[in-house]
Amino acid sequence: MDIPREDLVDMYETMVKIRRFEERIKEIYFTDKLPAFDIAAGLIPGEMHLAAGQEPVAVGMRPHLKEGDAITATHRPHHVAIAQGVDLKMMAAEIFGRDTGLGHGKGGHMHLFSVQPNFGCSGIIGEGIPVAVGAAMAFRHKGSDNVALSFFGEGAANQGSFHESLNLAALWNLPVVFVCEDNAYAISVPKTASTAIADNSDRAAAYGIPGVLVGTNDPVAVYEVMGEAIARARRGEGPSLVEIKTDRLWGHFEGDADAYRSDEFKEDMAERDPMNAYAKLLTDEGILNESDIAAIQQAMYDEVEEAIQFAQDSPYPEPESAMEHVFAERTVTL
Amino acid sequence: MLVGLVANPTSSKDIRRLTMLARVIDVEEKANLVARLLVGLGSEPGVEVLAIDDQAGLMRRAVRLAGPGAPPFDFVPIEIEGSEADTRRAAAYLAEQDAAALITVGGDGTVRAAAEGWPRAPLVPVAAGTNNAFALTDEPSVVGLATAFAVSSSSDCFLPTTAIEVETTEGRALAVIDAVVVRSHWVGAGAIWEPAELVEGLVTTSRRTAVGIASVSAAFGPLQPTSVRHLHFGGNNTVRAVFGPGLVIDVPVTGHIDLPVGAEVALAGEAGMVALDGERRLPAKSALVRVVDGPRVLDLEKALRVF
Repeated sequence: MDIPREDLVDMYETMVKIRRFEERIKEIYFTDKLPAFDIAAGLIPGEMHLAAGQEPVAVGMRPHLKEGDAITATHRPHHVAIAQGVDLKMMAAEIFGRDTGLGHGKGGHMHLFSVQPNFGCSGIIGEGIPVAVGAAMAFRHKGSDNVALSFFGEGAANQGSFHESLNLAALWNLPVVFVCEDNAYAISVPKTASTAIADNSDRAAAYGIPGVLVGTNDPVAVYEVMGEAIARARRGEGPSLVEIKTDRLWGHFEGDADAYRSDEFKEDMAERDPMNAYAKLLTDEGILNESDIAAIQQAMYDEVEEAIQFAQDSPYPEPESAMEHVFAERTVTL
Repeated sequence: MLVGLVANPTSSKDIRRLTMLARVIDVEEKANLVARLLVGLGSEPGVEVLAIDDQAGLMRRAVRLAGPGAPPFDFVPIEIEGSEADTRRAAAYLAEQDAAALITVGGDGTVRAAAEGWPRAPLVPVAAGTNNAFALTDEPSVVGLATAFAVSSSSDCFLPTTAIEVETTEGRALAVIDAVVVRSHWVGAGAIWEPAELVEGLVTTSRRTAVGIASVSAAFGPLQPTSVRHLHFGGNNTVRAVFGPGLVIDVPVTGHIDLPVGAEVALAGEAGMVALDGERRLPAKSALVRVVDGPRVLDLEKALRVF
């Protein structure tokens, strides 16, 4: 249960990187979209769903991953992609719709696909869950000890794909960790209005797999639980479900008036901001001091700025390339 | 007669579901358990229940399930934040209202938080936790009925216990079963599952049927009712203990000494944290522990004989 200092610091650095990235995207997003909100206009076309507040959910897995592990995420994917180590420049370029992006600018912010590391996400609710199960099946067939992780929200846990995926993963004892990010709201729908039961981690019992509730948005708690769940899957002991209570600090999408959450709710969340809480924990324990924190912030800000600049300087895909990259190209020998 | 009820929706869900064979007790199962308690309580006239509300809607589900068999019921008028502070504040409120009994539904941590809010509470601890070293594991309908008898009777149906008061630079806390210094410096996921983590600690019970540190203590024979056992961990000699559900392991122990009520000990400060009733809680630096009188606990058999 001893946590290496480098893991603790790495988690903090990654949280700073994620938060800074989300803040910069938030600033840039509205450029040229106003006065009348035109979603196609400006530097970042399309919708935007930012994960400020949910950093701990993603960084806790980081030190336990190995090369080749596969991760799927949601319409709110940036924190997970950054935590897994997806190329930040190519990710920014994709969000900006540029040819140097992960998908040559044709996927956008909700469709980030990376081969190395193995990451994918989708705007369809619950889409990534069976995909992760498929990756886990492939790892078993190949005899590797890689694991798959599927991140999804508490709303997605009511989708058929969630239930089908847990059932098959349990039946075939697959190396997959299902991670439910519970931020209490599916767009504007509170969990109490969508879900018959209280905690999604309780649903694990219906499939005969372990379910764990992490009740605090704390990267150290997530680190410990994800460490056990990933190690268990890697040992061939099968899938598990981890539910983490987290906070979506901003609206569902950029442009969301967020009037369905009370001011008091939002104030309570701001007081719990995991960036401040974790920084305080590390300084109180003497892991980092004020100048370490400042140095980390500067380094992460620079890295984010470099990625944003790369994106802004990159060319758009040529119109002639519109039909490329739609299908995988294969040569079939009959 | 007023009976307080604090049911914890988050017990039996932590990392021990992965690190040992701890089972999940889901919220619906707990609601069923509480409903059975309510029906037991409601079968004697004159009992009224004040219960804590919660973010999972556990009490609301239980009341709905219990139906007309439940006694008159209301919520403790405190604001819920979804942490163990709710349990502490509810217990303190019920103390002010001079409740005749305080039922807790949860694990050892739930009992601990309730005892912190009301140190000499007349407790009826109903097991819904991982270890349940302290709580009653009997059928809740029977426990509810026994509680109703106990609060309606002129006999004292509650037994004294011993507890451990812990004082650190962060303030005071109470442990009802054990206060143990562990090597980890982080609260993290809370639980402890590796004997190598243990440095030294105090435990209030040596019951052979108990799980956890109490099981380690049981290897050294029974404890006097008003004594507490001080254990030092490490070294080459081990005792076999049921450290958790499905976790039967050898725990290294270098020595033990029994201490009476009033004794005070400074714990090893160089280690990481003090774990209270199995959960990492407070920094161990400058930690002082005192053996004190604890909450009173329902004597189930005596209460049932009242009938």
